[in-house]
Amino acid sequence: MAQEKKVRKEVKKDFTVIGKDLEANQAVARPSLTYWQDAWRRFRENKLAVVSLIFLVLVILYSIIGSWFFPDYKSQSLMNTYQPPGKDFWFGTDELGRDLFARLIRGTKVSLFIGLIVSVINMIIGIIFGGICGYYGGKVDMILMRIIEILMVVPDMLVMILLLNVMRGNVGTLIFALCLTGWTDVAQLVRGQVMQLKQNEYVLAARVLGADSLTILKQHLIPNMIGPLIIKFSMNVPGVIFAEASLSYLGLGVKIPEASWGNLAQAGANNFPAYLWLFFIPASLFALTMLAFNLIGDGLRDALDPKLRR
Amino acid sequence: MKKYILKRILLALVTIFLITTLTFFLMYALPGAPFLGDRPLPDNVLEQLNRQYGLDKPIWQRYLLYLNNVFHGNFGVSTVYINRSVTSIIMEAFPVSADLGIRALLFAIAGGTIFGTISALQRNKLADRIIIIMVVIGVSVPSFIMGTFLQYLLGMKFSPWFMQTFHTDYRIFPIARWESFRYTIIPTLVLGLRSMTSITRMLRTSLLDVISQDYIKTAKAKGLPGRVIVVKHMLKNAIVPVYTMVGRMVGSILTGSFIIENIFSIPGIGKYFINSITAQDYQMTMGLTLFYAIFVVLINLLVDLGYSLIDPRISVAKEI
Repeated sequence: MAQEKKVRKEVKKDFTVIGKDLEANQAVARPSLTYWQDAWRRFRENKLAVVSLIFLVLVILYSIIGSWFFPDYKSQSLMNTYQPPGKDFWFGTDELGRDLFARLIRGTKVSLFIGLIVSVINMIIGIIFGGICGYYGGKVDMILMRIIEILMVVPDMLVMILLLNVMRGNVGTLIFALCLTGWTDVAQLVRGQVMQLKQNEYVLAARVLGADSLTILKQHLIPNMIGPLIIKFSMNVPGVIFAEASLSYLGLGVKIPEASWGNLAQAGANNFPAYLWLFFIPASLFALTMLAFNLIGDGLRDALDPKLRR
Repeated sequence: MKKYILKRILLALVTIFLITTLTFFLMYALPGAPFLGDRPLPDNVLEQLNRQYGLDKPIWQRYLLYLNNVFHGNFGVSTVYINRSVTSIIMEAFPVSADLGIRALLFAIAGGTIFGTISALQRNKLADRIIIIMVVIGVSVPSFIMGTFLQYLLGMKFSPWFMQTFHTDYRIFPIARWESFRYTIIPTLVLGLRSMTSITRMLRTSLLDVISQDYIKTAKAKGLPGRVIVVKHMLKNAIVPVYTMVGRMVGSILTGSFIIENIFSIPGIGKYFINSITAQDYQMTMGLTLFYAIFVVLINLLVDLGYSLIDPRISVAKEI
């Protein structure tokens, strides 16, 4: 005891009391960040992802603004077939004299449109399906999960080929076929998330307090799932664009004279290697945009899911 | 365990049944009739033809007949290649496709395992960075773009000086056909690339999980040599979740091979497949698709059962 007092005295010699200022103690040193601000801050640190995002925005602007100035992607000009890139045709012309610059603008627009719309539909179906499975569980879950398992075993590509072989048609049928199989991943993700989240104490607390299912869904489940869902979405878009391109190569995708990255690159590959620009220009834009999508997806995953970072 | 195996087999059978049914009804819904030609056939000839192909029977009988045919490995008759059944075309072309597919799969597994391990062990170092960049590029470039590009770069442009001493026009990597080993290199690379990158990616995350486990610390503390730790303790535990993907990979390699075979003029099923689509040979397209769908389902079943036998953790986890 005595020794302790002695030590205290020694310590007191080295330290002076500067007094208690309650106001200062309560003050906020730096503004607290919301989840989104924090995520944005982390996303910005990833240089590759930021560059990709800028690139993607430029590509989108190119397709929107470009289509005002170069709306004519269809008209043929047999006097000007296979013109190399030059003053008159910036990106050259194809075998029927169509301007590649205008076609690329159109193709970008169509591919991005298909990618976005199909991914949105996939997300909606997947969230509903997975949400029901995860929230209710039991028999409903078992039946719906078996359906998903069946859909997952057969490769998506084969199902799409089967359907498109019969329903040859326009972009609409293509979107339908792409939607048919793409949602299963989302459903599984949502199901797992819901099952995990609904076990949490705060959900139990909310239920005890008398909250109904809808409130729990809105207040607790969706805000907690939004991160993984955004990541899934950002990975889904390039996947869909990819699938469309493969179908185009097989002759079941977007039909000429309509343009898409897939059928432009495919037409280029058919004219390869005699007319290099027809292949390299659309293929590079396609590949670079896919690269950008993937890098953004990686960046989002690092930014939105702190658990994944180590 | 028994229950699990039974469940898998049942699910596979139901899947095959459903996909066969879907194919039949899609085919039934096709516009047009099979014997509509430029010149209308006389009624009695049409009747005779309908009877020969069983088209005069009611739909449920035709459906049962179709199920029976598929069950016996009969996937219909081509309407473009006269008198050739889909089965005979499969018999002729499938071995080549399977050869290419197996090569690609082996390349993907070997490459993915090596790169994934290096990447995880060298985490955040130069080798890891390079591998990750390679993975992202592999994921971002569609196979037909990669195939055409490599065909141009390696097949046409790559002709080093020392090779020209043999022959002025000698190419190490031919741009097409399927003859000797050097013909197979580029197609195998391109076809396996996507699967390889996904194995690399999965193995890396899976290994990073394992590396932080306590038993790795124990193994290190015991003074085991690094090689033994990596192979026996890390890979053995990390690889199971990765290799369960192989079943799904077979599917993507099969559908990918349609495209690759076409680029490199390989005499596999891909050629017939794309021809059948452009020639609107519906029977053939449907038959080939159905054959591949059933094939993939069966492979998946085998892979699943194989893993549940090898890894006790899987069957136990599935029972619960």
